[in-house]
Amino acid sequence: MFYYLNIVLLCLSLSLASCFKKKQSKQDELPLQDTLRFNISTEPPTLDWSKATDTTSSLIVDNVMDGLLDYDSSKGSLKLKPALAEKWSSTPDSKTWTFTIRKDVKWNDGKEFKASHVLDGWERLLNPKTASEYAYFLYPIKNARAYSEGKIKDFSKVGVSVNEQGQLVVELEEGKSYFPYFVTHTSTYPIRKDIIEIHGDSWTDPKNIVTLGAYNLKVWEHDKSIILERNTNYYNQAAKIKNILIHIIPESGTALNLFEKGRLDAIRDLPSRELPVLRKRKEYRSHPILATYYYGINVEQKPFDDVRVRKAFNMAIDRKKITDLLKGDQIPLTGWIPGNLLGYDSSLGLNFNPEKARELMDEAGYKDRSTFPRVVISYNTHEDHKRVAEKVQAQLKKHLGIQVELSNEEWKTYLQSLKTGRQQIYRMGWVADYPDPDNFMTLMTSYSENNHTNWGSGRYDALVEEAGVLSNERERVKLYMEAQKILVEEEVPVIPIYSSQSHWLISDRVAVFPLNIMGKVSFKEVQLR
Amino acid sequence: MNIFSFKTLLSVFFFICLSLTLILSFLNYEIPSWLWLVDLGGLLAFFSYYTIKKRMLAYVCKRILGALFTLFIIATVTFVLLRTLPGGPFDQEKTLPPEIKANIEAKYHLDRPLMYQYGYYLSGLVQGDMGESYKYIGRNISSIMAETLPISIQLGIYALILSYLLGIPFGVLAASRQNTWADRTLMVGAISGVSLPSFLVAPLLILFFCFYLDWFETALWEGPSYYILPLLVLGTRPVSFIARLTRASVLEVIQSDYVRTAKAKGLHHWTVLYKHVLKNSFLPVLTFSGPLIAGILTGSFIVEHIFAIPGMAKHLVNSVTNRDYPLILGATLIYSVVLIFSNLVVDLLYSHFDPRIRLS
Amino acid sequence: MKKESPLSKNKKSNNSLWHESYRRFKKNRLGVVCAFFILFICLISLFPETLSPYSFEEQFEGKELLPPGKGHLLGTDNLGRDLLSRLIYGGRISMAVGVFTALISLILGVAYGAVSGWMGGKVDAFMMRSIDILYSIPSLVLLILVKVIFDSLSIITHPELKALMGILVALSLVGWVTLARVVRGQVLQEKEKLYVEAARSLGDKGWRIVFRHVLPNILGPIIVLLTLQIPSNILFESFLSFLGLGLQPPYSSWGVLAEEGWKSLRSYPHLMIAPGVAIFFTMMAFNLMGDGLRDAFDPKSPQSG
Repeated sequence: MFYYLNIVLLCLSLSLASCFKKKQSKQDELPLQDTLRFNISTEPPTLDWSKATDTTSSLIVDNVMDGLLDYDSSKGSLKLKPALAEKWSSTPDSKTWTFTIRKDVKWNDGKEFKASHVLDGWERLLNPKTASEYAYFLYPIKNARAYSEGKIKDFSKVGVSVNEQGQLVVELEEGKSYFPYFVTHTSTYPIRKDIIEIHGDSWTDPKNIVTLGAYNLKVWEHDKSIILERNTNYYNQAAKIKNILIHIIPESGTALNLFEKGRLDAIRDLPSRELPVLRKRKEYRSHPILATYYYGINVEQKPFDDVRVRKAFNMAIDRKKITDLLKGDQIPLTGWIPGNLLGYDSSLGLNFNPEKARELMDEAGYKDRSTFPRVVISYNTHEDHKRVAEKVQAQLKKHLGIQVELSNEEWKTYLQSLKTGRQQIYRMGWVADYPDPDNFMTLMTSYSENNHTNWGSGRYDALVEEAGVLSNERERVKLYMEAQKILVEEEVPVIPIYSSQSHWLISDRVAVFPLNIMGKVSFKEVQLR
Repeated sequence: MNIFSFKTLLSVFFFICLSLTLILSFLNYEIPSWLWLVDLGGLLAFFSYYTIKKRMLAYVCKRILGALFTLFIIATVTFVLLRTLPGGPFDQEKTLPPEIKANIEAKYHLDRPLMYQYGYYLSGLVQGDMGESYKYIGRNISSIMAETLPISIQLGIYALILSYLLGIPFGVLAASRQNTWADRTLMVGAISGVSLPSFLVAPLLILFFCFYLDWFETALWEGPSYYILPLLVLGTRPVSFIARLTRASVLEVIQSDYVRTAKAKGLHHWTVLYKHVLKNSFLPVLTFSGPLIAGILTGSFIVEHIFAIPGMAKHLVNSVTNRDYPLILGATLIYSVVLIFSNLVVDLLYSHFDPRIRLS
Repeated sequence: MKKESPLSKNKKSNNSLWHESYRRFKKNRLGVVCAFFILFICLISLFPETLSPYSFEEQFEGKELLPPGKGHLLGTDNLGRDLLSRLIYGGRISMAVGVFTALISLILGVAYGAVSGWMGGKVDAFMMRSIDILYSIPSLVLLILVKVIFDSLSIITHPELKALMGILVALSLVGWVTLARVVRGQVLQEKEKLYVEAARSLGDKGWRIVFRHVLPNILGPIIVLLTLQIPSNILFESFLSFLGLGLQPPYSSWGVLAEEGWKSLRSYPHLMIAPGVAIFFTMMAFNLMGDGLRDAFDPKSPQSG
């Protein structure tokens, strides 16, 4: 009896349900022909560009905001083009830079853009209270570091100001010919202090945020999706596509499924184990990015205090075989500076040479390989790192007759171990903050916090410092070549493996999709068919 | 029993509202706020009426106090465990200059002694403030939870309903046809449901249902055709579990004396099954609902990850790998609250169905 | 039924219980088949080198990602390693994880449950309360924490042990709670029985009774739980692999293999199918055998033909 009653009631509520209306999601309203559907792998940690440090956040910020300068992706190189600044110039020693600000730019709340907004942004970035991780980006500016450390309280002492003509004048601690690259970075974008003061931490919510880029932030459903809409008052050429729908999809295989189903127009970070098959498809694109993958050697630990052993290890690794394994078009790297960057030379470094490697091992006193101490290669847990490490392990065994152990640690644990210097050989990578060799070369200076090899060379440090302040390109290259020779041919505290590639699947719907060596994705230039 | 008594009508109305809410949410329809109010009010009224009538107010209060104590212990244990983890929230591939690290640590009080941080956290907690995430800068833990928990609960409740809806009939069917091919197939099927890790089940189902048959959507969380696959993946384990449990307890009841008597009286097989067996064999199933809910909550990480569902379970895992201390603590506490609360509800229901049990 | 003195009944029923259970289990054909299958897997795990065609870490260059075929029966993975060999050696680790964690949780759980149940009163209340709390801490958080902490310990240097240690401890810590609860419940029941009273009147001291009389009597349910704990441990290990908290290479388990294979399901299905099938049938075998054992040990349960 009750049983039937329940069924009747269920049917009743089912029929009642038809009286209600379907939930209208904002996504449904987007017309397909004017929408690009994209995915990101995590929720952006923040859209506050003074605080954002990760690539996901930067991707969104880059499309809703502009910096003083921008990369000219149409040339496919690292040429800069004007954005908020229409002109820029420097004194011959590259120490003082002047940026002429465009006058016709408006924020999307109608207010006019001024040079002081840049100043506000930089003040906020450096302010210790903001606790921004990228504050060090502006350290080349005079007194910026002291301000960020709290030693100077008065921001006017920092070497940046607006002159009578409304130009932004930047004074550096020492000459840096590549400084313009810094102002393409999201952390240096102008901000609206008034907006932030009104709304506090929630100023990045779609209803509060004020931007001036090619797109406006329309919807931000946390952990789910983001919708960008064309800014019709954009000061530059307006975006081609009206809406950008960005899904947040943590698993690359899931994104691939959605792409196959025609629910996404472009995906990147393809599942690396599917690459051998995916790369044969016509939608597949790949392009180099300024990132390197290397093994660092702790030169204080036996047996790596002997340079011959380090060289032998270096020569026993066949990088071509590794990139063949990964099948992602990565470029084998024996030098330190990655391809497409000033100072790259494919002939640099120690090439694969197993006979020489074995001779070196013999010379180092390990003719009897069984006397060779226990050696561990560490890497952080990740399938690609694991594959590379397993390949390296096999190569060392084959070519040198040495059985090394592998040890993987979860990311944060790994970083902790790096700091304590326990590791013998460690995996690391470096992604360029700015496209200048200086970014890669300073990494291995003796005082660099990112140099975990315990190796240091005064000669190397001096060369890198000298090259950093030069403005003549040819002279800089010469110095960097010399420094790289020390690093990868003479002292070899590092084993460069390859420089990375970014992989994409781009659907036929998309006519133009510019790919950028800095990994930036600029939606305003994308065109649909 | 008078069908038209006020009480009956009220419970009928409430039942309709509850199922309507479920159906609407499953169809991705808008749920008006009055419906929510009725549901919540009804549930609250039911439990308070029930506790007072059965004189269990003291018991419930005791349980809630106990739960608060448990939560306090959990917060403490997790807090201590977290700080023993190597690596900190702001360690990154690119090492931060020390003064910047100092600025950040000052902002989040990480430069203070551990006892101070602990006290600070607890005092915030007492005021209902779970702090700010380190990773999702500027976002409150409460707001993160408020946005993701409902989706996880939605997923969990569907899975729970699915497991009862399928598991109990399967179990009863298997028991009543004991040792026939139907029983064997069902039971082997049930066991095979717990025999594959769900991260293998999910892609296989996706391949079959989305690419081969083209019935459902592969991922995302936007409507019924998106819900079914995640539900199936999340539900396999509970369904098998419930089916096996039901079968065992039905078998036990069937052999009891009162059922034999009922059968001897000449009552129809199904009538006996429904009237006597089902109700009594439901109890053990109910007892295991607590662990079942815990299992569903844990299992939902994989499902949320593979189907890109914006739920809470991923924070439970990712916050640990990010060392986002406030988020781990917050997610852990919320998880525990859900677990403790559902255990309490299960116990109350248990005493309702089995009047012999006196809770104290 | 003949009247006997309680003590002798205990002894005798103990023996006949085993005998009776064995007889009943033997009748369950499916269960017996499964038991043999498990025995087979165990033998392979103990002597992997007899069946495995190659070493599990040997990389055959130029033979990467071969589909199943001659030479490599199950094909090769993307480093050119023979999948069959990896499956056999992986099974060894999976079984080790399953069995050892079950044993550790068994020791912990039985000790805890027996103490709690036998002492009763306030001790029992306190011990159960602590278990409740442990139970409420999400096992996921606990697993990750324990795994990370144990992996970062540098005391253990033996590579295979180091690779396994974190997982063993993490899984045992989560697994023993259920066992402790069941054992406590059983001990509480047995405590009231006549034979305990009799043993006491004969002058046996408390713990002696627990070990000599109570535990043997509840061995049946414990064994059943144990057989069911093993497959769930193996599954949980694969879950950990999915989270990236799996074993240290070059060792791999079925879980690790499945996790690797899952990532390339669309291009190279054989990489997932092989470990998937292995996991599936082993789980089935354990569960069916467990069910069979339960039917055999539990006199109340119906005779299954």
